[in-house]
Amino acid sequence: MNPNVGLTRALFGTSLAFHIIFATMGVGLPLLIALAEILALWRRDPLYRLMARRWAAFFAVFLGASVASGTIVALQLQLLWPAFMRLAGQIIALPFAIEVFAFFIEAVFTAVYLYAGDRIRPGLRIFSALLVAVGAGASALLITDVNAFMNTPTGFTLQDGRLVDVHPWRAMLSPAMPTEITHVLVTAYLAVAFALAAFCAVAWLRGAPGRENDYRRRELSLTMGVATVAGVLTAITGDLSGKFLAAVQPVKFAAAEGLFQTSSAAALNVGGIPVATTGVTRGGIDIPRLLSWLATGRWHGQVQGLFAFPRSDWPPIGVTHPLFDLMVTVGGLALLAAALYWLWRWRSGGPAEARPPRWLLQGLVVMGPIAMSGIEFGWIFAEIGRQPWTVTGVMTTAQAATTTPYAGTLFFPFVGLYLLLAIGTVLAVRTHLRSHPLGVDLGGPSGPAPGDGAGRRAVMGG
Amino acid sequence: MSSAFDAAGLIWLVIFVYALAGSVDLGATFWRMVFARSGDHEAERIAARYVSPLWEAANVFLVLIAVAMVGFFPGASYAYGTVLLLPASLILILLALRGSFLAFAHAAPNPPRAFWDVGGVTGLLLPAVLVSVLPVSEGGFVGGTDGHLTLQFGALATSPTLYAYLVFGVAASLFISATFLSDYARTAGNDAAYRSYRRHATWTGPLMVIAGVAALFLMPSPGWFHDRLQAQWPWFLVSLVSFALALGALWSPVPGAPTSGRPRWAVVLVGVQLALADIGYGIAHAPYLLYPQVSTVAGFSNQAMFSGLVWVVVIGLCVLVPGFVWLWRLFVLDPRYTRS
Repeated sequence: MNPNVGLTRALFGTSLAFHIIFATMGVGLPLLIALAEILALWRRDPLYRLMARRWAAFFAVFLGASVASGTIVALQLQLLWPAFMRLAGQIIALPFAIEVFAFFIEAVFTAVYLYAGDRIRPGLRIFSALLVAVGAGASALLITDVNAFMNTPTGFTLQDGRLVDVHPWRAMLSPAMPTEITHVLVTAYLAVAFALAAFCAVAWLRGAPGRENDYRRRELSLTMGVATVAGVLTAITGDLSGKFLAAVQPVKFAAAEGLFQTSSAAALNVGGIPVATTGVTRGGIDIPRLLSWLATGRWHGQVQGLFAFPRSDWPPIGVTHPLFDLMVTVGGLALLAAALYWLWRWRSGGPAEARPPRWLLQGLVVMGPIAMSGIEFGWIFAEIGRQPWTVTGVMTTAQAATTTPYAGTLFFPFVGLYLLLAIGTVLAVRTHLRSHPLGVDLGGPSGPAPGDGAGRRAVMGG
Repeated sequence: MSSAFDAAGLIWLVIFVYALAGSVDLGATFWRMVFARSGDHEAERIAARYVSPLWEAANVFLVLIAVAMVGFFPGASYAYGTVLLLPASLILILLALRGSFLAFAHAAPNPPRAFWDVGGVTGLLLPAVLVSVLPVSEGGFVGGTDGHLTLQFGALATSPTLYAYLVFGVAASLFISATFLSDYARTAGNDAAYRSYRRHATWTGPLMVIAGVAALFLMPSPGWFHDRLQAQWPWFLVSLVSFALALGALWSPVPGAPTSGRPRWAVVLVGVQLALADIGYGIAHAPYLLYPQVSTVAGFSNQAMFSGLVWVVVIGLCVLVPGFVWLWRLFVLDPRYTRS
């Protein structure tokens, strides 16, 4: 047993947990910026152009910590998991390489959009924003593709511990790939749409009544529109992912659901804690037969329980089931929040400038961090649920970890760095919002100014 | 297996591109700090204009080095990943501080000067840490066998070769960036800034050459490498000539112009100088990626991955090069941007 494995996981897990927030923002923000730019051109509405500029300023702030933590994760893969990367380099190196170029496209068009947006034609500006979104989305899909390979490795044959008959392109098309990459992409859009809706709701609750309503209403419509579409897609891809797990990674599925006994009338447990020593999931609510239906689409479908597999292949089930429940709960709350918002829109119907009731705005404020934490729950579940493997059936996490004993030494310096970056990002966003109040961007007390230069400083960032 | 050497050449090319792009990027933040402190606001503005849009693009090349190493030479990736855990983590922390504080400084309306200083100080330290990988790769500082490779910090820290490389790395970064920014200042029509950068290029250049010659030829180095490097002397000689011509170009009189010097020529000649030295060093180093543990042939991936990666890199470069040219036109050549 490699004595470094615990600290190596702690350090890399911390890096990922930090990076995921910024990566998600980096994937979702460009899409919303591009949509706002398109609406600005299509409806000839300068308020949408202002919205794009104000969001772009967020994006510029997040970019710093996003690129920094992304570079860290990319290199820590080699530093902390050298044996895994030696294996990955022989089979699944292509997504990493393609990702570099996708990231490059993102970087080029980010520079163009942020620093030259005022010098190029609106069509080219939209094109730039869209390519930032495409580059960021492709990066996320490609890295998730490597994760899908780790879940369901394919494209090679293992002969006496040696790799033979390697097909790098086929390795990219692993069975877990379709469900996993679509789920990751739509949940990123969901989380970012809710995060921006939360910023909007905070400002609307605090802002001067009336004056900002035109802008805020558009902002909330766009973010909640994206959140709703992404929320429905999240539910669909989540359901497909669950069915996939039940069929292909049944241990992970049983660990996610806290199911011990194989059953063709499996109940769905919500909120219980599985205890490995007793083989019972304690507490929570059992909904009869629902798990059979969710896993197989049939009320009498058979679902394999943990006892069908050797104990040594179980992930830490006391953690995986609660994490899975939390993730699904976040998805449910997102759909509920979206439904309440559209219900209010439908019921209020009347004056276009009306501000939503306080309770709805307050709910949306809370949903911002909740939606983001859903991303964390999902990833932590996905990684812990694959234990004890790094590459299922091929390489354990202990085999993958570095033999160099410095992960512990490096833990606190990196935690300190992430704290610094987090505080810096929060302060930079706050400072920016304070020095660019919407009222000023809208053109002072006289109401919205149609001039296209209104948000210039918001994008140029000084 | 000649594919292994093709792959090594490709990685060496990416390293060369990063050495240039990274030097300019890192050096520019350092010059910005220096000129902000000395009150030379013309030169400070030139550095600031350059740094803003392009630092992220330079970062891509650094990641590309690591990723190409994983795919082409998984064995080398394993060895370097194992032994470089501490120094590479230091690089990562410096890069992260740098990238985020530059972004914060851009977002804040009146950023404290300390934010730019983070960029300046890391811009000075990073070339030193990055270049220290070269003496490690030449051999003598990595102990143990395949299962348990370790970096011998004591031997490395007491090696004069390391310190020659450190001075070389820092001086090279400062020289390349000063030469480049002198041309950028000329494009922007800023004569005062041009003179400032030319002055600094004139002392950092010789320092780089002296440290480089010391690191490669005068300081102790492993026998295999020393002999192979000696054999490549013509490359280094022509490189030295190109360097002399570059310095000459910075000071050559231009009839009718207010200030002497042809900085565009100097930039091209510095590029040629570094390319020639890079080729000489690369040929000398070619048999081993990390001496003696990882030879180029033994560290190589498989043929299927090699051809897959070559496709990706070739198609990727078809995207990357026009993208870079476009950025260049928008931010380096467009007078509306450089003069504003």
